[in-house]
Amino acid sequence: MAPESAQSASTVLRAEGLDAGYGEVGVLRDVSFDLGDGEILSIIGPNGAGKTTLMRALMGFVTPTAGTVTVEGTDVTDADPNMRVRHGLSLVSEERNLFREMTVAENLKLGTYRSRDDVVETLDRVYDLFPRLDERRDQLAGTLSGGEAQMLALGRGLMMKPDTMLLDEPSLGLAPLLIPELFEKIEAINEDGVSVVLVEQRARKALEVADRGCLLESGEITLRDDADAMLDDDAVVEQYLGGA
Amino acid sequence: MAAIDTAAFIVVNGLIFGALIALTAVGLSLIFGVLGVPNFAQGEFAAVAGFTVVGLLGAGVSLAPAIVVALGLSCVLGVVAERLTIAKLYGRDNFLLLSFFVTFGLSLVSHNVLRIAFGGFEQIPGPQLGSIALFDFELSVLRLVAALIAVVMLGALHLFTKYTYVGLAMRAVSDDRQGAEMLGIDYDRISMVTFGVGGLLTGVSGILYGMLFTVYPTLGVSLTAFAFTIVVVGGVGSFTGVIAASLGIGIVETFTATVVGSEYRFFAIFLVLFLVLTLKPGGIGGDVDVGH
Amino acid sequence: MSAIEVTVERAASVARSYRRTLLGALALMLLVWPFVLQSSMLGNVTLVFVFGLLAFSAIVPIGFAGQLILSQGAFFGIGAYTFVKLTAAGLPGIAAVPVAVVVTAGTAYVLGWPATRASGIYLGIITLAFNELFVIALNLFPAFTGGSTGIRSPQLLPDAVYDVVPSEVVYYYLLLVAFVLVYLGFRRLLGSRIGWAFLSIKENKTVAESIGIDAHRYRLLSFTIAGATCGLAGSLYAPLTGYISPTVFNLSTSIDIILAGIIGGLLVPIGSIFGAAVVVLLPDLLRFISDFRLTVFGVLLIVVLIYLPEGIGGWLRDRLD
Repeated sequence: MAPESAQSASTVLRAEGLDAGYGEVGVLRDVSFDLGDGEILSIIGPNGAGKTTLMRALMGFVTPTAGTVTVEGTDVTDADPNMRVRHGLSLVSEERNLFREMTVAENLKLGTYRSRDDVVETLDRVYDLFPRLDERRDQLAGTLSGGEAQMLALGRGLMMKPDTMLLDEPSLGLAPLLIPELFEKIEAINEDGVSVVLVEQRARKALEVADRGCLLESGEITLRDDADAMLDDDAVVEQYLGGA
Repeated sequence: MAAIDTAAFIVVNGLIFGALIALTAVGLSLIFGVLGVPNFAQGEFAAVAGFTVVGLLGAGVSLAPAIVVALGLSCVLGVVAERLTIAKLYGRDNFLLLSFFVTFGLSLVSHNVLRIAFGGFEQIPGPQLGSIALFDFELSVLRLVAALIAVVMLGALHLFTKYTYVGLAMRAVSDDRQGAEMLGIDYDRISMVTFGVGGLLTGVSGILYGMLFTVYPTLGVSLTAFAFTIVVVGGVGSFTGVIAASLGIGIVETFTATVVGSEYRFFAIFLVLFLVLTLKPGGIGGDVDVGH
Repeated sequence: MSAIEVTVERAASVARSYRRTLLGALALMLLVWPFVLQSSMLGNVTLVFVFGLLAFSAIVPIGFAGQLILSQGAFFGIGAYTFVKLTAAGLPGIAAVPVAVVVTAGTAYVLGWPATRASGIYLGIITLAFNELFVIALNLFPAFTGGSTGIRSPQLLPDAVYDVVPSEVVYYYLLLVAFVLVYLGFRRLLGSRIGWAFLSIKENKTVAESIGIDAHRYRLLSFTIAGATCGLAGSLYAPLTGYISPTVFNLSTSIDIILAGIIGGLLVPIGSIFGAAVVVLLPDLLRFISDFRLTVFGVLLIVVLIYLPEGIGGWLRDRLD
């Protein structure tokens, strides 16, 4: 299925025809989508559909066997993850990959590794967004609770001043009470100008906050629509929106 | 000598020796901790630096520039070795084993080349600073200064890894490599820096050792043996553990050499190593995942 | 493809088509050449078989089970010294060999029980320390071990045998048979469930355990097997050379043994003989540049490790199969 939006300067991230997997095991087949500037695109689907593999392929931790990844017009398909960061892409992974032996402040500081100007202002903005991190500046990241760790991961991603953020299951392991706050923060981040690809198990919440959505099933994109339309789509509602 | 004097002698000299070998041990701890390479050639940086100074002094160069050149060489050699050999192994199965043997090969080449080029024992004539009387023995001031230099270098390293971006990046890579790459940190660059820093620290260790004792072609192998023992006992990730273990091992070595007999030095070290590991497979200080 | 590669490929394809004949010729040569070769050359070849045996103690634990162990030299020594002490005390050589193997295997088992709980570099260091301690201990108890000057070893078979057949020839056939039997045994073992278990543990211990493989038990098994093999080699080496001393069994030898395994190919059992040939014969060949010998060796090691990841055995296997 060809991407629907026209080739435009406002597409910040595009995947075309991605096949990817681990060794001989193929996971993704012919995955294509694009992300417009300032959009939130939510990718929903069942467990094992390949959502995390897709995130890793977009970031460069998995090399696709076919297809391309383009960031702000530049083909990055063969580029290392650290190269993609230079093009404004940032990933907050499912496992979070925090530096457990380092403090909250040090983790955040490392977020500015590639963009070292205005560190103090960016840090202030992150502490405003996540006051709990401010309280725990000198605490080791490995000792944070689930919710705090998620905030740190998001905050660290923000310190990179990215143009596009890939969020892989940010609500995983979070106490249910914290979920609404999480999605508010995601909206706030987006309002600041960051384009977001959100991969989520909690399909309803993910579509409510998104502009457009994709359904990923068994490694293939089976539905692509405006988020509101997907929320009303009976098939989607029955399969994925019954619970969360 | 009364017991207290002997004890003081052992402790003071042991701590000084411990401070010197701490530089090599910390170098190894960095390279092993950040890059996962059990660098069998770690001590060679010391021997090469020491002999470079000897060679330059022999060619008429004065001490200070000779030291600068030698340290620069240690640094450069570290990076070159990493790029030409270790970097080719990234991503391979059995990386631990392969890198261990490659560094073993490097060690073989290094200490044999040194043997061919220089032959035997040499000493670096350090500045004459006199000595002070301590308890009932004379302690050379040069020894104290050397230990101080070691301490300063270790302090500088600590600051480096706490306050500079590159230093923080090194700690990040050793903590979670993928997390570091996600933040735009270039693993290849960090790899080179780690080898360079590890080489530099060990080079300083070698020059100081050459001034206090002697340099000889297989010095590298001896220092590597000490460094591995220390890193294992102190725990790979733990800076304080490695320092503490260095001082402890320094005292054990001096004690054995003074009280038991200097042929037993290595036996004592290996015994300590063996016992610590059998009783506590992960080492004492660090919290390392023992199963790979 | 360069001209060299083309030639090699041509040679390999010829070899492939005449495989049976070549193997037969090889077998014939192995059986006959004791009568053709000079006795010193024969001695070297026999030593290659000894190292071929030893190389298995690198292939099994390191290549297959993924354990970095450095105590091969010590186990080699335990086998050798046990043979000497037993035969000196009156036990016939033929009986002393299996006893020596059992003693070495037992030592490996006892050491291995706690040691194989560690892995990665820690196991390597424990075994390294053990090897060093062994050699130092040999030097510290000269009354028992002959100290640093070493000790003479009685012959393996009764003297009567050597009146009929020269001893070099006897040992050659003995080691040839021993090597072939052990090789066949390992080929079987490593192709079986046990070999598969070793590889699973090496690959991912957690996953292996989740499907019911007791990692510690298999690690201990591979460690003990390595010890036993070294013990066998040692108990044959002592009568072969007639004289043993502590330096023969030091860390350097452990490294040589592992080198033999790497050069031959750590996952290729037949590679053991190629690796052994390089480690035993190359230093002799490089004798004329004796000063640079070890340097060349070091460079060779690095080059093989980086560019020939499967060793010579693996390279040959890929060409000739």
